Amino acid sequence: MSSSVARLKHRWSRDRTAPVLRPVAGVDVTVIIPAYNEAASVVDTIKSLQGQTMPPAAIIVVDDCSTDGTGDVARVLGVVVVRPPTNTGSKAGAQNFGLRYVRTPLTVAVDADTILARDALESLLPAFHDPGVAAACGFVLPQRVRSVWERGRYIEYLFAFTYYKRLQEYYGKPLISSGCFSMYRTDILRAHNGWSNRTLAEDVDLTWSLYQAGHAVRFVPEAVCYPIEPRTLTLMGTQLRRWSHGFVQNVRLHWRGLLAVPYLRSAVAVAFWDATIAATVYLVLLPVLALLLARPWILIGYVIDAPAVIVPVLAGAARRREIRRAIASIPAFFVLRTVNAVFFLRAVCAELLLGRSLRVYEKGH
Amino acid sequence: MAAGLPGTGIGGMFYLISALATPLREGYLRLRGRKSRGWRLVVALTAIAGSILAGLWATSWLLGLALSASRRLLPAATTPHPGNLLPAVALLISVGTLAGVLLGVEVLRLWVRRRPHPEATIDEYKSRRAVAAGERRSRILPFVLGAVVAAYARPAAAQGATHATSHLGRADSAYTAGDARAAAQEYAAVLAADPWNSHATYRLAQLHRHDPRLALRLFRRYVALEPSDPWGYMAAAEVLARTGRYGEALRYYDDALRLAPGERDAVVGRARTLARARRTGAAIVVYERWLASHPTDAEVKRELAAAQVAAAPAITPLVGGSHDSDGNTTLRLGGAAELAAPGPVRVGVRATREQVGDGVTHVGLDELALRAAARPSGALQIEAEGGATRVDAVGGAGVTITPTGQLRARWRDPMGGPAVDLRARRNVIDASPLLATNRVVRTEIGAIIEVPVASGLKLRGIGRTAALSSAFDVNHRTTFAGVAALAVTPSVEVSGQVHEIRYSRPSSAGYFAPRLIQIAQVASYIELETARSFVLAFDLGAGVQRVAQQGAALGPWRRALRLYSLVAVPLAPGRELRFELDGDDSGVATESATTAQWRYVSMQLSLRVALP
Repeated sequence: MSSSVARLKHRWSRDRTAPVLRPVAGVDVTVIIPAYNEAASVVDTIKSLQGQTMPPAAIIVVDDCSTDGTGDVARVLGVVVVRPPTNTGSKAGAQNFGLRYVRTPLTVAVDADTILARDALESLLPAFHDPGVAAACGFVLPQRVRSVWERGRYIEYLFAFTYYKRLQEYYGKPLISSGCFSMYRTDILRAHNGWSNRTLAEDVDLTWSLYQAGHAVRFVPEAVCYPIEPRTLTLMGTQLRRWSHGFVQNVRLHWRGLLAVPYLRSAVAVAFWDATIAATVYLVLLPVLALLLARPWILIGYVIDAPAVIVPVLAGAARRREIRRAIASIPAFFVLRTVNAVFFLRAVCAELLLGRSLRVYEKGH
Repeated sequence: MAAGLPGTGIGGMFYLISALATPLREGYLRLRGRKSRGWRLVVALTAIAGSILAGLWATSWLLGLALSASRRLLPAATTPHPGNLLPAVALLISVGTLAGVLLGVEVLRLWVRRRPHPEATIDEYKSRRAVAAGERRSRILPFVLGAVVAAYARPAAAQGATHATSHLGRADSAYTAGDARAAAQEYAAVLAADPWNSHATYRLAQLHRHDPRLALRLFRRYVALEPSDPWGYMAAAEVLARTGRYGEALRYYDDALRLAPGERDAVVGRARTLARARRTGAAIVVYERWLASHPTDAEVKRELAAAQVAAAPAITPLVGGSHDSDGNTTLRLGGAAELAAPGPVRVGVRATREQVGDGVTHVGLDELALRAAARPSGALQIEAEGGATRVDAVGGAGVTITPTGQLRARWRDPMGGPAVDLRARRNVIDASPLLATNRVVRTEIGAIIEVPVASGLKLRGIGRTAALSSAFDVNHRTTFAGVAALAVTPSVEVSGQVHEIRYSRPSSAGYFAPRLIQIAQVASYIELETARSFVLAFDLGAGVQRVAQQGAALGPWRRALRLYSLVAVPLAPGRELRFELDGDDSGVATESATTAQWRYVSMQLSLRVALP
């Protein structure tokens, strides 16, 4: 047992007898930060958590056998650092390791490259006044918006969290409780054995499992978090590869159970259809038809839905007073969407047609 | 993670429709007093959806302008102007594909769904009870938690036996006081702490009678927990009968009667189920046996009389007529006769004489048809009719006899799931002397598919194709329609409808056959029934339509109105007077129309008399 674990156990044992000695005087929430070589970003994450309007009772950094001193950097900031004996091999593995040390009714998962708005935790808490709610997630926006890929992601998030996710919330079925920042009821999380590493998208897996068990998931747009998004095509490719394979793996794993969940089954079906058939149309059919029929106006299909993207994006950006940044980033979205289509199509082919399931968890940045 | 391709594909259409449906859903939730997310979010989402629609329209318009300009500038280098083709095709493909995918999901759901074991017996329930108490707890616990508790209960982990007892007391108090909502919450909390509490299970099922799926699960659960209590079987049977699963309901009643022979509710409930299943002969036998030993049971006497009336032969004289804006008038006299029907099949005959005139010409039509209606199960109804229509000699044409008939099959998931209505028919179009003189005959097949997408919200797809043959030509008419219907209450439905009708060619046979008709309507269906079986039904539609003549572009939008009303008045046991009124101010929707401004009204009065 590492010294960190021993220290943590010591703290918790004191906790039970003397509440005044709790690690952090805060709400009954423990934050788990899985971290593998995140020394450069974990400091900001921890500071944003310590600066919350309602700080958590405990912050646990799971140093997943980093080699860049992540654990040491975190320890300096006064949080609990635990380290598994060997690298767990996935974010889910690290989070589950951290879950063993949670003693509060609520658990928050935050990525080590994600910072939270000051009131993010406070904003999420009211969702749990409803006893049926098992998980809640917030609004996600990139921390940095500089490169084409970050700009594309910025528009994608603005669009999805302003429009799609709010609609899903209205119908009571947010598609995914985002892995970078979500809050869970600890007992229900444990009942589901934490985060599963049977797929590469543990957040999708957990969210859909919760729905199938009859629990509710909420999306709280006021709770904002800012992850660092991939800044290069290589890093973006790694992340998209993981996400696309993870999504397909989850559809294959959960399709039968999802059929019993109204609205969600429709949302997943159209998402899966778009990821496969629409991607094929987008990448293959449009250019082929334009060439074969000598009808260049067919290529208008690439941008004809631009208003469907621009309207929600501007609505979201206006609220944040980021109109200029949004307008400047919109072209990057169409680039990212094309790349996204390639990766989803490859994932579908690999997972469903060729039987080559991706199992190795690769960090996206 | 953002799954799919945000903005493009059918996902964009799905969320656009979802957003546009939020005001309907919100209104429904408010009306039903259910928890809602609030109008603020609805307004925001609807505004986004409206802006997207406006943006898409503006983009299409600008693209059209740009393409027109490019054609003028570079006539040789550019392809023909696609006009409205691109957005129209994109819209049609998106909506059609979305409907197909959603329908596919629903079909898959039905296919995958595990059906309850139809041959469940008391012994099996005993073994289930043993199972319930033992090794298979893990299967039933998620069922209880998943189906019931999640929506209402306190966190399961925070509950204990003491909590269950206190909740049970509060629940019973609320139940006795008539506070159904509080009682349901408390009973659910009891089950969260103690999933094996049969009393809470039974009470919660009673409180969820309006949701037959949930009520049935809970009653089945109760039967598994208390297999020696006949009331559990009766309650489950009542829900099954209400949802049209008569065979299974009768088996549950049989189980109840084995445990409690002679129990009135089981005997009478079984008889009612037989009557509902149209096995009226068997129902009458059960009622009569009961009355032989309980001759003063007034309620059973009434139900026996109703069953005898339903099984008795009947005659239905009728008189009706119609008038349209061209001055065409019809007068119809006739009637129908039905043979006695102790089983689920009813056979009859219908004969009418109709006189059609326009002030100058008059044509007579006689129609004779054999009819049969069957209900093989609670979910399936089949109606068949076959006969002939004789049209009098008029002008240069002699007397003709045309075979006519129809076949219709309707299936509806008894638990409120999807429904399918298939119909094929052949009949003479007789709204004007010209149509009758030209021997216009319609041969049509069509289907209506209804899929529930959310609580109270259903999508309907309608497709029909008809061949219209006359002395001059053969024309084809194709109809596609989409309907989003919201059940505001069990007897009130509001809907938004879009219809598109196409004729393959113009016709001189006497009906209006434009190239394309588009109709967008908001409609409401209201059906009220009193305790004395007085029925009042209205189907009202108001909207707009536009017409494209053959070889021409679409014209301007103009109003489209329609009304159908039914009043059924029970005069005495076995005698019912029915009045139907049908009006149309969107005449292009029917083959009888002669112009785009055609208006039409028809009425029919009939009296059904069951013979002793």
